[in-house]
Order: sequence, then structure tokens, then C-alpha cells
Amino acid sequence: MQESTYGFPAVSDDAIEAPMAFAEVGPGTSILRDETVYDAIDDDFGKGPESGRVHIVALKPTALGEGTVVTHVVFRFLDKPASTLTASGVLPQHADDTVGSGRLGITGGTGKFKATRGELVVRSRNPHRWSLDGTP
Amino acid sequence: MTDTSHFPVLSEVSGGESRSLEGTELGTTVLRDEIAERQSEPGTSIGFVHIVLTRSRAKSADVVARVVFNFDSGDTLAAMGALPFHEQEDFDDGKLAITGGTGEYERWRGVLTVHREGPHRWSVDGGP
Repeated sequence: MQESTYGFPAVSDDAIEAPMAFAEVGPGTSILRDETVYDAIDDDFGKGPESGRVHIVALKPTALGEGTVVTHVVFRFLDKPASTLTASGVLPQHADDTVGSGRLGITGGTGKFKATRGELVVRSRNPHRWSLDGTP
Repeated sequence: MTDTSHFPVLSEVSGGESRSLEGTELGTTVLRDEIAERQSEPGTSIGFVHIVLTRSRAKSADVVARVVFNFDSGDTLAAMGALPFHEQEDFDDGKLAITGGTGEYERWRGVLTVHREGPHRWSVDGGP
């Protein structure tokens, strides 16, 4: 079996049967989506070997911020010891409570991403496709 | 490990209630507030550690952790990441990414390491 590169670009999809929904919570409340991460094998949403998990914490907007979602993202890869990458920012809100396409600011990392800076670019179609735009 | 005027830090809950993830549904978020002490000066509080934990719904059994150190000196340090879930103690040993800070930790980047056993022990490896 092909070994993962444990990095980017990556594709993730929802591995949970019943993800949390904004309809279940009040404004300002966090909802969490956990997705399985795979190596991206093309420029689209093709999936290679599994490489880790991504945890997407999204805050339900108030009426004033409707249509945008304050989002925190944590990648935890399956390499040993585990490398992680964190990013935060604002993404468009999809009608199905997933986050839309956009860019997040990389806030830090551990392991192979300890020095990574720049932007995390997400293309959303559920699955999501993630890539780095910055210094590795 | 990087020497600072605060780290390594020991922290534990003292008095008051602290919610735990034990027995909660997946996806639950809890806040733990712990008193911080310098490892080199146990028994003297130097501020608080605020730990926001969200239990992952994935089979990976991660806990999404956001941590803010609020020192009495006015300095703050923030970190975020994923830690292994621990049934009794909420989270296990691991590393978080330092996401920012103020005062002594302005422009800081690097890694915050936590050891679970006993009082939590926090150390930093990084700099401005």
C-alpha cells in the first residue's frame, strides 16, 4: 500500500454519520466536524492514502454575521510523532452547515509544520480540498 | 525547552467546580480553569490557565484543545491543537501549536508541550 506523505495538498470528507448542525445550537455556540484526511492525488478531489484527521470548529453566526462562519481548524496527522497544523479565520457558510471555500490564517503547528506560516486554502464541495500557500 | 520568566508551569484545579468531559456526549465543550505556578517556585500562584476542550466525534479519540495562559504579570500565551483523549483526565500528554501572545510572548511561535500526570506540566519550545 502506498505510504502517505502526511501533508498537503489534502482532501477530507465527513466520517461521522450524524455531524452536529447549526440548527441544534444558539448563536455563538461551537459545532464540531471531524473529517478523515487523505493525500490529494490530483488537482480535484481525488483521494490517496489516509493521512490523519481534521477537526473543524465552527461558531454559529449571529444575525449580523449571517453567511460567514468563524472557523478554527486542527489537522492531526498519523506520522510518528504526530504533526499538527492549526488555522483560524472566517469562511462562507453553506446551507448544509459545512464551511465554504476560502482562506484561513495559519496560526501554528507542531512536528513537520512547526515553522509553517501563511494561508491554508480550502476548496469546499464536501469533501474539502486543503492546500498551503506560504512557507513550509 | 525554552527558558522564560514563567515556564515550565505546573497547573491544577483548586477549589470551585471544574467540568470534565468524562461521561459527556461526543462533541461536548468544557472549560477548565487551573491555577498556574512556576515549577521552580511551587505553591506561589503566577496566574491562570484556561483550557477549552472539545471532545472529537471521530474514532481518532482526539480532544481539540485551546489553551490560554493569563499571567498576573499581564503577559498571555495562547496555543491550540489536538491532544489524545484520556477517560479520567480529559486529555493525555501531547503538543500544541503556540498561536500567539502578548507582553513577553508577543510575536511568539513554537510548541507548547503538556504532561498530564500529577499537576499538569507545561513547557514551551519557541520564541518571537
